[in-house]
Amino acid sequence: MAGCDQSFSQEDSIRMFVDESEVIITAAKMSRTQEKLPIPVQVIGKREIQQTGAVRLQDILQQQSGINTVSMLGTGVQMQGLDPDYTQILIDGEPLTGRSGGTLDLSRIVLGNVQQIEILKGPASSLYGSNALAGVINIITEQPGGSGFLVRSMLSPVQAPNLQAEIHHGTAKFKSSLFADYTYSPGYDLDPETYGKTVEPYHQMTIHGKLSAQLSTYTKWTASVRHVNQTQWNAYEVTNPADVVTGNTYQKEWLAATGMHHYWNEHLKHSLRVSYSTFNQDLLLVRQESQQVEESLRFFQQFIKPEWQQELIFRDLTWYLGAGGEWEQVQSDRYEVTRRRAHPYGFTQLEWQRPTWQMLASARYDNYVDIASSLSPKLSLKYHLNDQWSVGAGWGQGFKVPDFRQLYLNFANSVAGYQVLGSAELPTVLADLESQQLIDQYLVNPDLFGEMQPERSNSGQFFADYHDKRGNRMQIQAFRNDIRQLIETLPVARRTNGQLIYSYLNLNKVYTQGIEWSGSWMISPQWQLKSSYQYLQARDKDVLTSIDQGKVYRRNPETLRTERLTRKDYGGLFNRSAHQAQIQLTYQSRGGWSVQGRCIYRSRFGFADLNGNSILDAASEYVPGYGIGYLSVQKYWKSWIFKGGVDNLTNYHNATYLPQIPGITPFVGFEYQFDFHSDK
Amino acid sequence: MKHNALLGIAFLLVGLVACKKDNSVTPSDPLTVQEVDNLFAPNDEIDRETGEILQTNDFVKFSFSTNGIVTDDSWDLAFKGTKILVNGGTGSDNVNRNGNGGAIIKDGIFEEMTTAPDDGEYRQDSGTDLAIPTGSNNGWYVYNDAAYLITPIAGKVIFVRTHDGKYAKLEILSYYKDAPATPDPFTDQAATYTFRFIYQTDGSKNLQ
Repeated sequence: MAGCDQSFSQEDSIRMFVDESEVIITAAKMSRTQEKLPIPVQVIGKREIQQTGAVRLQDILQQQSGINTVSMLGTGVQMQGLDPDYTQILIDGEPLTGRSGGTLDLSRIVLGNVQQIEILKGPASSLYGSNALAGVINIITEQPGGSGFLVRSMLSPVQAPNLQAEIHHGTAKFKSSLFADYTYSPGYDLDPETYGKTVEPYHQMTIHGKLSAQLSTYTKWTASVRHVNQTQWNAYEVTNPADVVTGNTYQKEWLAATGMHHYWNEHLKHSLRVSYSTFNQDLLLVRQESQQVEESLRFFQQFIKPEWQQELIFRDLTWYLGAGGEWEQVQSDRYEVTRRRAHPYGFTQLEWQRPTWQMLASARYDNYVDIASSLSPKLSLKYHLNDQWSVGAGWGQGFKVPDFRQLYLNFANSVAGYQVLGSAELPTVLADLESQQLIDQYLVNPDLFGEMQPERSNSGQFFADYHDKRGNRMQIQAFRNDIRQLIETLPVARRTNGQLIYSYLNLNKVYTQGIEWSGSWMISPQWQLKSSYQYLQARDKDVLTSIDQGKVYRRNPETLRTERLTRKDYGGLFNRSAHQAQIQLTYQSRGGWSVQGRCIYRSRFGFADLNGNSILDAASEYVPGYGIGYLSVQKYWKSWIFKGGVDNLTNYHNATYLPQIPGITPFVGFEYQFDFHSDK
Repeated sequence: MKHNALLGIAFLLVGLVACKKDNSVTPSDPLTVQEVDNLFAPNDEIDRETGEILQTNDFVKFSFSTNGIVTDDSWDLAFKGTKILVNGGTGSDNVNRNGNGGAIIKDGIFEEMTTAPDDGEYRQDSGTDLAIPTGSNNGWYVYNDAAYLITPIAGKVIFVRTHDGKYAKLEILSYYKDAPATPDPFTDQAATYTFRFIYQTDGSKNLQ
């Protein structure tokens, strides 16, 4: 814990506000300070996480501008206007497994042992491959050091309780730590009129163990195991006939990684890492009256990923070379057979550090045998105008391969009356149905559905950076992402029983562009003001073309007569806000108190087409903009931290469109840390 | 000779009539836009569990010339649920098509489309393939299966050749009773058409 007694200088106050280790790993796969990186990276440090009282990743991401949490089969993250599918989420550099419908549920990630969260926006496929088209969120957990333990507890209506414990033991050569988190949430109900809660109760256990051994002066061995076990209740009402559906979703996640790192000399370093991850999801939902199965799912996914890396340092040049492979396997009752794929990859990066400028050039080659291979390049440059100001630019290409769901899913929901087929499954199933004369009508030419291609992006950014010795910072960034071959879900055919058959297709071309601004200002040694803002445009290019051709119409809501749409009427992609802003004021007293008030604002966003032209244009198709206020107080006292606060001061809620935001939520918590001896 | 003279007079008369007609059409007054409100054409009642038809309903037949419902063969369009038939072609729906009607759906704005398409473009019903196709996003409407809502697609103008070879254009405005701006499929009566049309009585393709 940072001491708040003793003498208090300007330097100390900066250290209190700015997290000690502003060293970033994600952007270049090497430890670099923000100043030396030609790529802007947003860092949320331990101090900020602690101050907010956030327990899960989504709690802290919800409070950032330029990041949006969206509720689609779990709570996912939307960056630069791109859906959760396109952001890779890593823990200590290893990708997390277990996406439902493309969304990696952020509620499965707890923050108790997190050192910092690094958010790299824009394409990162050149280092991280598929899924990093929109960017990367890398959760860096604490490195074990010293010996001691820590207990922490948070209590609020939605976390009742959260318990955390961590024990670490370290010598000069051998370091280990074990972290555990248990959360029970009774859920919450924003709409008591309907049966079932908005978010049903769940409990979740996380265990994360880490080991590192300095085998010799030049050789280090690391290992880690992370396990998450979550049980989520479900309860909701159905009609036709009226019944109540209940059941549990069980999710289990394992991630084991080990690595060997060796310095041959001061110029050459080799690393070998292997990770194995699994994700298990079991779901059984039953109609209580009729005892019919409403929905069931068994899903088991495994990844094995060995990766070799070489770092070669020559004066101001660092050359990085890596190669690896990824084996993926999925067994599920929604797939005909066990699906497997293996893909080798290789990447390289050249970093050039000069006193006045930096350059980072990287490229990665991914060979997906059954689909297509991808080459993802990226180039970033930064020039320092003087001690305070620097400017930079970047360009990169990203990709995302179709996932197993989009290729092989074979799922029929007989209750809701639809069928979803992966593109590889579609031809045989359609031929089968056709031979039995079960197809009533094709809604789209089925020949269009064939070999699926990766989704590809082409992105550019410009930025300007200011920072001074007093701890003030400012950054402005303009970005643009052009994505083609976006995969869409489309109804292909109607069966004779009226059920629709859906499948996946490379279809759209979209772009997202915007401006992001962030700044922090030390008003006085005790006061800090931070704010950020993002302006975003996300548009479907094909829709724009149709609008320009005068082919897009809507009905005037009053006369019901058709009118022609203009570009001005088009609201872009659904679920994107044009404006997002955040402002935060922090006070840190000499006596160990810290008080923080935060406000976030998000402008209106579209939720669905209501007037039948399938695009966002009418005012009624938007969820109104909203603001949320947060207040938290923290007191450091010896080895203790006490905290309390209120999230969502104004009790904003929207059960239908923002179920992931609970109403007003007071919380209290404490932390006790004991160190036998510190080796810092 | 007498025969020839008669023929000559006949030609002359026809010519005169034709000329007179042309003279009156050229500076044509805009035709009036007429509106049909709440034409109720319920579908068969079906047991949703078994698919069994509980009650069969007849097509509701509409005539442009009378701007009303007819029961004889002088109908131009017949409505039932989301299905719309033309009086021309064949069908498997127990409706007599004695006329030479047809229809074609065009994309555009009702007011801007002032001339009926060429005769070759009109489609007639044949079996289950209707001139005005059924199905969501195939013809005149889109079905939102999340909101259970039928919405007429904006920018769809239906040109109709009537049973007696005249022309009309129409735009369907609503599928729900009293054409609410935001219909509620659970409370607003469905299969209740509101549409506006222009009907040309003189047989020309002018629909301005």
